[in-house]
Amino acid sequence: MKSITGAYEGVFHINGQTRRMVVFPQDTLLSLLRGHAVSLSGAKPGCENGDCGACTVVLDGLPVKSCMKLAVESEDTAITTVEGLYDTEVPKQFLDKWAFQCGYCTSGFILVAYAMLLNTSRVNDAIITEWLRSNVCRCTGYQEIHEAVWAAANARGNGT
Amino acid sequence: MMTPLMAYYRPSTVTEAVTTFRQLRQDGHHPAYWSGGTEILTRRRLHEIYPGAVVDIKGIPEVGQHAVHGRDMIFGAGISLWEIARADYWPLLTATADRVADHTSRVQITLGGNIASHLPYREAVLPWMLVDATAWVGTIKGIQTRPFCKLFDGRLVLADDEFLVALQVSRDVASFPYTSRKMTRRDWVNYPLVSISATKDVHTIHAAFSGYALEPFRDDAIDRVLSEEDLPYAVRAERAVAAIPRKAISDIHGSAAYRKFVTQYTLASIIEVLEGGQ
Ligand SMILES: Cc1cc2nc3c(=O)[nH]c(=O)nc-3n(C[C@H](O)[C@H](O)[C@H](O)COP(=O)(O)OP(=O)(O)OC[C@H]3O[C@@H](n4cnc5c(N)ncnc54)[C@H](O)[C@@H]3O)c2cc1C
Ligand code: FES
Ligand code: FES
Repeated sequence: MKSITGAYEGVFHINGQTRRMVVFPQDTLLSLLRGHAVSLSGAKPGCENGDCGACTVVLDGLPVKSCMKLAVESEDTAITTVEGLYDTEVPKQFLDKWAFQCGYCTSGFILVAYAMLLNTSRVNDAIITEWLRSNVCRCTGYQEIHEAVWAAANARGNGT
Repeated sequence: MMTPLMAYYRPSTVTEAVTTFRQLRQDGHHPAYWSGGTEILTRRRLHEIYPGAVVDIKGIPEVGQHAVHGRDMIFGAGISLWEIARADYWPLLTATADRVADHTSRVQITLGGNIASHLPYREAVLPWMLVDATAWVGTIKGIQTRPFCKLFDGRLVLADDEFLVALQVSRDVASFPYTSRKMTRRDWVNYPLVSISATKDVHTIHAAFSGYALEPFRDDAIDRVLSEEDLPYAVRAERAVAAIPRKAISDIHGSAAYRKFVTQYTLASIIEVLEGGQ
């Protein structure tokens, strides 16, 4: 039985790299990613209550709110953050379509869109809306985000 | 402020889980069973609970099962609501589970965690209140089976150290006519003013409700009124709301009067769908 009662050295697979890191059992995945040992600040703390989606990352191909997941539960999974999507289609389209303003929510939207494209061979407006509903943006328009996701879907061959 | 320590255990058998839970309780650690963890983390953040240890049940094979076996369907308590909708073994459960929270949260929220939730909604339980289901319960003696109707009375009734392992139901229920409606005040993603799952077998409509009162409920008297085929839909819906034996709640989502109004017109449209009107 896995039992963790204090500081614990775990093995984490983040953006294709395997790293050994010390975590405490109550640490969330969000705090692990943003802490000094990893220093990936792409996943953002917003509500830290599962509501806003700013902290979204992808675990084994599915979107997860990292404020709602323990770090120790994320061992042995493939963790993808926005830093792992550098120079890929979804962030490129967000830039191209100006789908952000302050940018605080943007990495969460990018990760949800990325996961949707991994899991859906053909997207449509209803599917995009359903996946994006998990995330909240306080300052730009959802229209541009929607357009960026469509553009990424078409570029990757997931369009209709 | 330092977050208080919360030890983490991940057993791989039911007996190991219950034994660990008992030991932790005896040692004064106030343990909790951990499934998706979304509710424990949010309530802990609000300082409503302080579990000193969590026993993650997702490593137990029976908790993760999700399959059609012979005449039955089995849903492990650790299956996520997203996975339930993806596999779609039971369309009424899919329709109900797929309206809980938002898409990303459903990847994490589990069937057992939602049914055992301390929040009033527990929407994923509604289909189970309408059928003869069997619950697999994790006990110190291993897995025991009990009729689900004996286990759920608005909330899950288990001994402190027991947990829900899985739910089993006949495949026949997957072919019953059904509908599921979640009514929110404004946003698509929100807690319900009222959420109703309904099904029909031969001449009887069965309906279960969440959001209307402090706990999910169903009632034979409501089903009888809903099933009076000689009466118009609107009349049956009005009488059904009058027959509800619970007090409608007033909260930030809506007043009691508004809840009754929404429940009434939702029921009228549910009857119409189940009787093939449209
Ligand atoms: C953003 C968000 C939106 C939400 N929207 C909705 C909504 O629209 N409708 C709705 O109904 N709910 C909603 N919820 C509440 C949510 O559904 C519950 O908090 C959730 O179901 C808990 O599931 P979990 O698997 O994360 O449970 P956990 O947090 O792991 O556990 C919840 C409780 O159940 C106990 N428990 C867990 N598994 C078992 C088991 N197998 N046997 C016995 N006890 C167990 C735990 O000890 C704990 O007390 C929402 C939650 C979030 C975060
Ligand atoms: S910070 Fe995780 S959902 Fe808002
Ligand atoms: S761009 Fe500012 S919150 Fe979305």
